[in-house]
Amino acid sequence: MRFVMQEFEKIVCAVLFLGMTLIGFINVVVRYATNYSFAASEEVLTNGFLLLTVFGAAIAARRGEHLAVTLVQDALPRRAAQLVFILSVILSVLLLAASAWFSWVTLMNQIESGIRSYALGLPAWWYQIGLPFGFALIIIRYLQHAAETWHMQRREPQATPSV
Amino acid sequence: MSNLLGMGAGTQMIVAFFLLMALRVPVAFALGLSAMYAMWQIGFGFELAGDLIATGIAKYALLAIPFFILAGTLMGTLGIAERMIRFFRILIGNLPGGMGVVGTVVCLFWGAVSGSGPASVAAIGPMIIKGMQEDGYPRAAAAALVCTGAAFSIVIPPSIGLVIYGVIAETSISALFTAAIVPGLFMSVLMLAVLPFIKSRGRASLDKIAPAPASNGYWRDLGRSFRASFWGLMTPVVILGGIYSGIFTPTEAALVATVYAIAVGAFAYRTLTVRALYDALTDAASSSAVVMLVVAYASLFGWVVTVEDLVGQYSGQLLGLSDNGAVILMVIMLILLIAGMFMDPVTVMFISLPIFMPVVRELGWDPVWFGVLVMVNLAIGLITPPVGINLYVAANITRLPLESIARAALPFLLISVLGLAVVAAFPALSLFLPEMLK
Repeated sequence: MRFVMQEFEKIVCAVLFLGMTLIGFINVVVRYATNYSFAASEEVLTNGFLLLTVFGAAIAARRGEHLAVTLVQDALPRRAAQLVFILSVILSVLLLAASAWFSWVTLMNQIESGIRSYALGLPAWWYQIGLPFGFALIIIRYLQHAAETWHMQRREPQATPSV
Repeated sequence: MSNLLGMGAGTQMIVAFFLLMALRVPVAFALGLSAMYAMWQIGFGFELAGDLIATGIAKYALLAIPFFILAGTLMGTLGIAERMIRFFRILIGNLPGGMGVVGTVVCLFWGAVSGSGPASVAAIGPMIIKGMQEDGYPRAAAAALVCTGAAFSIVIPPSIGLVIYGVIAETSISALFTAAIVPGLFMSVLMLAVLPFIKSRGRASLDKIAPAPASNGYWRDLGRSFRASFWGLMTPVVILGGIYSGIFTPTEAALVATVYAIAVGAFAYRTLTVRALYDALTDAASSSAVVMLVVAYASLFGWVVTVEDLVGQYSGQLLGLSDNGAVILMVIMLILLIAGMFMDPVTVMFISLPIFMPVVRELGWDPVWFGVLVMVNLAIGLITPPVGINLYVAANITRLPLESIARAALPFLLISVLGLAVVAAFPALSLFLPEMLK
């Protein structure tokens, strides 16, 4: 259970990515052999890509891989640098929370209007439902990484800036 | 508030973006925050935000990005890089320049396997740097060579940068891939000119890097290492051959490359374990998300740019600078070089291309040639301080201070700018191949 909690976004991404590779490859083979291409696979792939991005962003957030410019912060005295750090975390969380909220609103609209996907005719909210939760997960992972960085900075200055 | 410092909401957004970025807010989030600030100023757009983020990512052409990254990551973990380096070491390691030449050629080859610069540094950097050191190159110079060579992997197809350029500029990605190949080769060859100036000591024996049990002679060794690295060497043939011959679209080629890498790892080299596959899938998902999150929030940014007609405003100013197209081109390249010093290629393209593309059309430039030019500009940005991403990756893997690598990269930087000038001055260099294949 602990493994699943810690690796949740990784498991989601691995399953999704492997599935997308298979579906995409089968589509290439079928298209090449029969000149027949299904729009359905395009729909599944692009929507899978959306989920892959949001959950992959959670992996990247946990590792602190999202590109940031540390130039100014590095030049600041310790106190000011800490202040900038806290500010940047608050602002980032704000944006992610807004993103979770907006994708939640979109989800509600889709359920209410009963809109269906263009190729498979599935309810559109099936694809959307993972997004608000994905953004919420990015917040958790981002905060986890921020807490680690905070404790590390207090102990010793960072050797290599993470850009 | 709406007239803060007399600026429109769009211009305020751009100022806010740079301010947030300086505050260490991740670039993707800085784009999103400044765009939402502008939406709040304008008074509408929020209700579209969810849709804009989704439609910004969910494009079929962009699907090439996660799969090229996955293919590159898999190739990096399967031991293909090692075999490739050994093969080239035996093939051309005896040329003057030794491992320096080998390193340059391997970077070039790896560029045709992987689509992103920093990932290439991490995948092939340690082995090349070690080999070059044994051959008498200073460690910093070796790191600088890898940084530069890997930076040009965003020019050499398959290139994630060119996929994104193609989507923004609505230009054929296949044509871009074809056009970039000669300039990419050209830039790599130019790098060789630096080698005589950075090598310090005599050469080491070949055996350290490519041990040959009771040496069987050149041709036998070469044959042996060729067989060992064959499947890796075939990768660019599969990817680029498929695209150039018109069999695959770039997205399909990326899919085929991924399946090819899995098949090579599972059946040919038997180096692919379930654990390695899981790690490659999650690492690639993370790397792809870093790029795609920028794309997602850039689409909010782009929406404000369109609504506020910043494009007309700024591209008009740019066109008004001079009657001479060459002068405008130089200004554009200078902007790209400076922007590339501070931002990653994807962000620079999303911010600047909407403004540059109308200028390109107005002046009748070929968008394919311009795309190649943009990519060479941004590749140079990867190796220039203060924010050269490749330099940071190299500093991380070599444990050398950033400054010493940046200093060692200076000769490569100078020759790259020279190469950029040539690519800019002779569009035919980029365009004759797509013309020929038409």
